[in-house]
Amino acid sequence: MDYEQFVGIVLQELSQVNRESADRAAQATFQTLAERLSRGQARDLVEQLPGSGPWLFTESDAEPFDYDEFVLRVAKREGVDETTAERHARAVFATLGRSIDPGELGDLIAELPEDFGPLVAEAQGRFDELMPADEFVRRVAERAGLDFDAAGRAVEAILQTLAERLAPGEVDDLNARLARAFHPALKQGKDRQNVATRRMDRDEFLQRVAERSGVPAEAAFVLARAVLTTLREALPGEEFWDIAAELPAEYAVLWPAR
Amino acid sequence: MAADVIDLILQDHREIERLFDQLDRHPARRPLLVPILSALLIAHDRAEEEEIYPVAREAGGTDEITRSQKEHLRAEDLLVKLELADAEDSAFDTVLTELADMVTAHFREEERQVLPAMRERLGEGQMEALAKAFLSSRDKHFGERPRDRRLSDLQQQARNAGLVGFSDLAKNELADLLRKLAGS
Repeated sequence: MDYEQFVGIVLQELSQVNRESADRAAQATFQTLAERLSRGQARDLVEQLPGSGPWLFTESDAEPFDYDEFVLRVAKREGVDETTAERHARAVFATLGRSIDPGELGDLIAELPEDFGPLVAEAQGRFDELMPADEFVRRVAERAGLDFDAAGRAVEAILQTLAERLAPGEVDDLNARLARAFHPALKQGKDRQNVATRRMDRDEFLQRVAERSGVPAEAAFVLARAVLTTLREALPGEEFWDIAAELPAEYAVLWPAR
Repeated sequence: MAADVIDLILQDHREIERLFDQLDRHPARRPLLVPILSALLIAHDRAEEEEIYPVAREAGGTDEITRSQKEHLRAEDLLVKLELADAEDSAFDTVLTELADMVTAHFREEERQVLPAMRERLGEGQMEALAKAFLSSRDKHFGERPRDRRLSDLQQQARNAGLVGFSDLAKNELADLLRKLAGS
């Protein structure tokens, strides 16, 4: 498949854009991908997609930036906001998955870190839709009997505290499975974790949640249960239970039984 | 790998006992822990009333279940008092001790009589179905408030306690009757 055909499919994937925008989305995503990949991998891709050479050309080594940075760079190149850029990049990856050899796709995926999950899933055609941030917060608000803003603060406080408690790899998984609006909270938690936070028991966890979300201690339990119950709904398959398995049994009152 | 219903019940018992212990030893954590105790104890008790006690009663434990049901009613009353008490006041300690002693003795009784009798009389299939039913009932009741009950729940409590002839009673009347029964 050549580059022109490729853009045609991206155009079909993205509703309400013209060919010029689809072209820009593909260029921006490819340029950023080229920065992220090794030279050899980028060259292999060009061979699979004749005509994409100018955009996938790179002379530098792979830059080890994360998924959020990837989306940011695509956004800057396209001159759009990050939510739009992510949608575009996902369409490009979905098209990529259908356009190149499975073996080649496997090589490409192997070079991308865990947190590129949403793009990898698109490329593999197994994308489960992320629960939008608004929907997540709305469910928490309803469960905990809070207004939307207070629920939003609670979600951030709990995700941050959870990211301090979990192994870094689990936090990366969460990052890949949750809407971008929650990524800063997860990153903050992951950056701040230390020996003590990795051992935090349930009550310390709740104490921190209360302090961070600015609610009295009495309210922490209901908040945490509302957020973690919603988290279970937001994560596909076994992912929630992988996280639950990392926490001591006393945490289990914070979510519905399996 | 279905969970064993008796293990599930025992897990709750141990967690509730642990909460009593922490409430006793760490007064500073009381505001944090009372809502957990309250939610867990209520969900656990109500799931037992809904799914476990009717089966245990049929399996021959009539007197034990009547007594157990009354103890649940008393526990909920004490829970209301505990929630209203100031965590720094000595009244809190008094209620906490009374509730903890009562509930712990109730657990021991259940573990010595009700649960072994169930294990003996029920088949594997029944036990598995009961485990599922217990968990889903427990989740359904999680977050409910003490004393805040549907009429159908009160009627189940009345049946568990061995009462008859209550089907004409309105919700408040039945609630009053049960509260009197618990006090007796």
